[in-house]
Amino acid sequence: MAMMPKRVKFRKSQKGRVKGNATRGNYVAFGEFGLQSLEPGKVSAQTIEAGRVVASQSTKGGGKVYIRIFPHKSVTSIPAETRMGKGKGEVEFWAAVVKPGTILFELAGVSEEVARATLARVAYKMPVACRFVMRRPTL
Amino acid sequence: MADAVKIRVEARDSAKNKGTGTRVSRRLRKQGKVPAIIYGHKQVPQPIALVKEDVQRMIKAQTHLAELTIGDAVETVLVRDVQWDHLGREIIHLDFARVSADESIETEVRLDFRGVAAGVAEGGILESLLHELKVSCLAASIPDVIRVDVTALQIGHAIHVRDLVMPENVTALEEPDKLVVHVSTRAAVVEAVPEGEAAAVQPEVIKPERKEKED
Repeated sequence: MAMMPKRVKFRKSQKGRVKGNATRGNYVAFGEFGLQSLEPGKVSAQTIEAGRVVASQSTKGGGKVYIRIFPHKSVTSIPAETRMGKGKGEVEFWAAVVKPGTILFELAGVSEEVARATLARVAYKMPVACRFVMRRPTL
Repeated sequence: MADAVKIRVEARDSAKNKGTGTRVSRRLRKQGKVPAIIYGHKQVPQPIALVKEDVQRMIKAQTHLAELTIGDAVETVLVRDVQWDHLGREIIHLDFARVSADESIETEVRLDFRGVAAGVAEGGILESLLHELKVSCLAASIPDVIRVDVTALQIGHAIHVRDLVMPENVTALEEPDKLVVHVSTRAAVVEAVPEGEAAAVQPEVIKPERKEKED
């Protein structure tokens, strides 16, 4: 089932603009491999779910998949052929705001070869350009 | 433990804000250098710059200690903090702490999982929850890695911090009951849920509590 917040203070939010680079959540923290966003954008809950399903199917349940983003932002739309005015539209879907550098998914318990193939399939589903990353070296 | 990497660095003139700040750091990075700072031992912090290739050499050597030559002086330092760019491609700043060989320090050491767990052959998944271990030891005896033998791990079995074989004079600073690695059962493959089945539930809206009038 698609992710969304359990409780919110306000149901509808303003659109806003995705500015700047990711300063948090921009490194592989839980798994060994990750999928990193290279562009700013919004990833809908449905797309996150699609990524999770394809990652699970690609690893055949053999690895641990971590989802590092959460759709906190509601996106509204007004129906087609509606006259101007009459207020803001209804919530259409929930999306995660993604900045360049944000880690979208992580994988653990699989080989690098499997991880590369899996995350390439996940990246194909994503609305932003992504790249495969590994853990940062410790100094 | 690996020997300290010997690096020649140049001091930055910190007088009148000439050696520090965003503009200076950006200029250094354009020249292929990495800005850094040395502090500790109650001495004045020393802003320095080192060549990018030397930083790569440090990463390759996987050593915690470095011997920095600034002019005629030699400082033994420990990497305290590393700042990466937003994509994690390049190091943009380094923090070095002055240390002496007989000083007790706290640092993080990488865990190296060795072997193939017995549980993995039976269809389990080896899941490591801790990748670096916080340890206390003498600066001269920081281990490069702490090896963890996982070959005996069956499905459902785990290795905790208390089970780790620590090198001599090295103490783990994590909770003894903290999980390091375990073998879990293989998860079922997730099937895509048809769109119609996903119920269109909306989140609950938090309403402010109404204050009752005191009259």
